[in-house]
Amino acid sequence: MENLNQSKSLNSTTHPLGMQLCMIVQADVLALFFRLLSQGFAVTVQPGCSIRDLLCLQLGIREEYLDERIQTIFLNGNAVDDVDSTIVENDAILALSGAMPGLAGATLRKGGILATMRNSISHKNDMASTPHTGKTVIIKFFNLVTKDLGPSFIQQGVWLRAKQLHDFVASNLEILERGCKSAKLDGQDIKVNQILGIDFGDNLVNLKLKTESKS
Amino acid sequence: MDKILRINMGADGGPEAKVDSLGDYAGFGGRGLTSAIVAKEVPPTCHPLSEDNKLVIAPGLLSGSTAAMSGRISVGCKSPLTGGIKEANAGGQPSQMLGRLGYAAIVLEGKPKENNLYKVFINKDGVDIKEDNNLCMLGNYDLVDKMKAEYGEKIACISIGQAGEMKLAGASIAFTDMELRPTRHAGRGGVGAVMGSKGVKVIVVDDAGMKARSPADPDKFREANKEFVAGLKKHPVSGEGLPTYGTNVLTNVINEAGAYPTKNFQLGQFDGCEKISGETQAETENTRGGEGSATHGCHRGCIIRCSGTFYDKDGNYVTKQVEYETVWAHGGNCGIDDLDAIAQIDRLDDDYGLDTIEMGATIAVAMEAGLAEFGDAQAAINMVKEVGKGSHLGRILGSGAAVTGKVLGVARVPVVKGQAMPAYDPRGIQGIGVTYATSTMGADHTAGYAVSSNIMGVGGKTDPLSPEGQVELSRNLQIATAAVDATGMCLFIAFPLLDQPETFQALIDLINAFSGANLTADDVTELGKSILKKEREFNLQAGLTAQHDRLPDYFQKEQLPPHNITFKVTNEELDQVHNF
Ligand code: SF4
Repeated sequence: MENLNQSKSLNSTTHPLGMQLCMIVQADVLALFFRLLSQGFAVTVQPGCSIRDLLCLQLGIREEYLDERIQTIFLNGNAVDDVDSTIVENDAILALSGAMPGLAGATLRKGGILATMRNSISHKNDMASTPHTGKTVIIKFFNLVTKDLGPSFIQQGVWLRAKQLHDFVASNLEILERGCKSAKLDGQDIKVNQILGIDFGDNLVNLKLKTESKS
Repeated sequence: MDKILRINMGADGGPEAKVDSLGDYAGFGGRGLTSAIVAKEVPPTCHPLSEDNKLVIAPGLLSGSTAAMSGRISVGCKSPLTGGIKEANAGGQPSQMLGRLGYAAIVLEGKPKENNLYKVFINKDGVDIKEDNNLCMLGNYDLVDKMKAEYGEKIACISIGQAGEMKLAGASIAFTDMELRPTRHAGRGGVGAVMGSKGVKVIVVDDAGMKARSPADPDKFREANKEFVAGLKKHPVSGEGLPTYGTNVLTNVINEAGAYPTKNFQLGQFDGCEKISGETQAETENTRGGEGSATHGCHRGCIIRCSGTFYDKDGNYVTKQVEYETVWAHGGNCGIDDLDAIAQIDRLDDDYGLDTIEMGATIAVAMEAGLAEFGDAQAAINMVKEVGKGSHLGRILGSGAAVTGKVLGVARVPVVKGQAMPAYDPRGIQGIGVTYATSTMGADHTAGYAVSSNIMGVGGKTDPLSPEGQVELSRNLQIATAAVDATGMCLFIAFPLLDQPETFQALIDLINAFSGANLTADDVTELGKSILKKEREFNLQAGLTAQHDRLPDYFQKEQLPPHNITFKVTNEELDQVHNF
């Protein structure tokens, strides 16, 4: 995938955050899973780095991709203008989007000439940082970013909240039963509907997809 | 395109059509022309539904030519909703057809002496106006079917549904799309009620036998059009984001910003947003398939194609791809997270001829009043059906959020000059709040659009981080928007213009090669300024003063979660917007 540096490992699948669910799905249902990426997935990071370092050094996204395609960024709901000086703390929520249409879209864009129009929700570096209670950052992918980066991330595995996974499976059960060829939970075969019966507690679940074209 | 069709609906012996030359209005198109005619010919203090008001329908300067994106159409009048001047615009096929027939505008004047309903047919041979009371209280879909049966499939229609006939202040005017469906609406400000007051149910346009308008300099025109199209295609917003996801791509982003008005502007984020986002909508449409599902134009010649077609899970056509503002108005603003229900409501709005933003805002106010629970999609559908039936409740709801708030005793009513706010909370994006407050149109998100102020030569001279900077930006954007509206170009060309100076230049070259004029960026800015000044002057004379350039005071008092912010721009600062 040309938007990622292939040498970077996106997530360690041996991470002790929780169980691993591997699914082989038909290519035509892959896009359904992108909804999970816009709700947010967890990544483990070194605390206190810049957005650029987090995305490019730690997650392997190419710098040109960040500079050219990721045009709208929110850190904890605040629009970001400078990816080099903005520091991402543990437990932060970082949302990534392409350029957006309309006056609102132009206003929210990073470093845009209309940035002043949303001063009240701009990220400021003196903002109180989130307490260091965890070792993860939640990343959200929207629109073109999902389309560009989603397939690679989800094929390498993303950490999801158990409830998020459960709700997703419950509301899309019919499509998943049709589109999922096989699934394994920590190496054991499992049927899609059985996922609903598993108590993952408060843990995260690592979801990894492989696609298979329709036969 | 050098003539104006004037139809006097109140003439002795029945409606009378005459064709005027453009005269003093030469060089104007779209909003430039509608506002010029309304400002000059309509008494500002007249009742909007009286014989003195005029309804002006004007294609853009380049409509009817082969210029890309040139098929938007403007509708102007004195608004029954705001009491001020109004321009509402739409896509659809009629703009190009009227342009090819040579009409710069249709002006409906006067009022029928009897309570009759008329249809107007326009083709290359002239104009035919017939009384047809059989069309009474038809929805737009049935009406267009009747017109197809009568005039054939190669027509375009401009029509009103039941709401326009009842002269409700939330009524829209429908313009048929490429599939001859009444899906494109000049929605805002109650323009449909003014058409209803003129007794015109439908204008049928047939351009058979007419050719595209020819440019003054065909070679330069072709070259400029090519450059303009290339600019639109290479930009990520117009070339990729909008065609892939439509305007609803904004849902996730505005929600993330905490500026997504939720449950009648009580919250800035909606829990169910992901279920109604543009990403989910596009994926749903792609999965369900069908002709023109996720990427489609609202008129021929659209290169961006931000629209689409919404089919239900069984593959039956429901409506066009629902736009961001509608998904918000009937979705998050009412606590509803069901795309199928939202599409159904959109279909009802289009059929009855109602502004979706106004109706969504109104239903949310009614929900706050306790008429239904937030999130109850069936109750929302039932409320819109009341409007179609013309019940007492329906007539109140169809009159918009301000009237409904008064009748139901709700204090939190998000309107400016009587018109409901669109899908951006002004506390989250304060610059938009400045535009809502000071626009000549009432709360309007398209009034100050994203055409680069620096490229258009009206860039901020003050520090953009100061409050005055926000005011200056809003002013400059309003000027630039008025100018783009006059061309008849879709406002979504704004992003490529913002980022790519060569695309902006291509647009100016296109206008010049077409008209033989020699416009510069400064002239375009002056055009925008002159439109705004005329509109402002009309409003002042109609009684809308600086005191009306205000947001409802709860925006200054109630903090909006999750950022817990209020609207901070002062009244003194707002008053500076129109100082130019
Ligand atoms: S970009 Fe969208 S709104 Fe604009 S003309 Fe095309 S389809 Fe219509």
